[in-house]
Amino acid sequence: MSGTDQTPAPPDGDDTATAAEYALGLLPADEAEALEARLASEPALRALLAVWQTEFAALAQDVPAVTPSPALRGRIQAAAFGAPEARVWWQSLWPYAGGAVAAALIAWVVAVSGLLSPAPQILRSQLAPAEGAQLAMLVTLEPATHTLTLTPVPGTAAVAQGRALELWVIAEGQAPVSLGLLSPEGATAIVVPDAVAPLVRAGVLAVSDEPEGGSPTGAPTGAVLATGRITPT
Amino acid sequence: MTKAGNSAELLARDEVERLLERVALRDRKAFSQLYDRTCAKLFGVCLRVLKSRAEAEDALQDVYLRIWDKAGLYRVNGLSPMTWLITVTRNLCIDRLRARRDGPGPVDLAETVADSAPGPEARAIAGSQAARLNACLEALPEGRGAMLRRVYLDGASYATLAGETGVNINTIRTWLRRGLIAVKECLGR
Repeated sequence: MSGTDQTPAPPDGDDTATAAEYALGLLPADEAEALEARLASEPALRALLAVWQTEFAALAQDVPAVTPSPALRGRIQAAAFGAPEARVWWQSLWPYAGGAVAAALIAWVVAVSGLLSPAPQILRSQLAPAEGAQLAMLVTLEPATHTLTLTPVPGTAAVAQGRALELWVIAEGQAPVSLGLLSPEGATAIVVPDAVAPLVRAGVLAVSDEPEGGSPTGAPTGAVLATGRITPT
Repeated sequence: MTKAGNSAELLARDEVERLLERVALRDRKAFSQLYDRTCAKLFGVCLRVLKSRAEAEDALQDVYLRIWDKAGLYRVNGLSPMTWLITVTRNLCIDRLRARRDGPGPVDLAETVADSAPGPEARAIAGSQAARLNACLEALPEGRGAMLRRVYLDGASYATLAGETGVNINTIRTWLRRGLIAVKECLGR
């Protein structure tokens, strides 16, 4: 959010004040954009903003609670849920994957800083456990060769007899595409076909529990165990 | 930051957090439970900012639709669940307020000039985070704390404040930036 004022005085360069102005919606649009651009790569600035948002939210704690009219509850549910629809689990990954971004962001910052140097860039991220699962995986992508490497975080991968881990990439609104089976121990390197590579950069990665040899149907059949993205949204 | 001084507060935080996680997975029951658990607090904020019951209800609907769509994102920002919910609510309401002001029709300054200092009841929450912040705001010279409170709760912009006080907009910004730095130092003590 940004203020609609004509541009006032140039800032004094103090991030404490600028982050607070952003939290309050006082920053002129251009300065708000500049701050947003820095947030992804500056954890200290993100932390500063979170401190201000938390402090200011305390002002709302003073505001008395008021019960809205009972009819509103149904109206909101109808608007949110819409017509009944059968959702399959990979469709629910889109909102969920956002939660995994937090962990991935830290790793991503490391990768982004590599953008500035001429050295070959490797994107690093991780897949976070899905609800009820414990599998976590470290992921790297070498864009030059489209090589994905997935390594389970030690102690988090447990595969039952006759079962296997299968990696999928899911682009928004599309069916999952299998990228192959993963070893529960140690790293698995997968060279992604050129046609699928853009999906890997843009989509959600998910690991599901499948029969030995992989999904017999070409679509995930078992529980989703871990999800994440190689690049943040 | 939030140091929940009692276990009830911690439990409530955990409950909202768990509900948000389930809402992120499109759990409708969790969404309804989250609504029941938080709607009065968030509606209070809508009403405080917008000062119209009909508009506050429309805003509350926007808020919960945003929550339904974005619940998975709250962790990204490093906020506690309740802070995230309040921030989403406050920002959506201020956007509405500003759209209303910038849109057709005269700006109704009268309704935003009301004293927004917390009442005696709120002040009584001694030692709470809000009390600490309010004390730091009140320590600022020349009513700048009240200006900042109005920015948060009434969506006042630098232009609004300049218009009301007759002070140059650049000067207002310089004052409030200094004020914010002073508040941060005060909170750190």
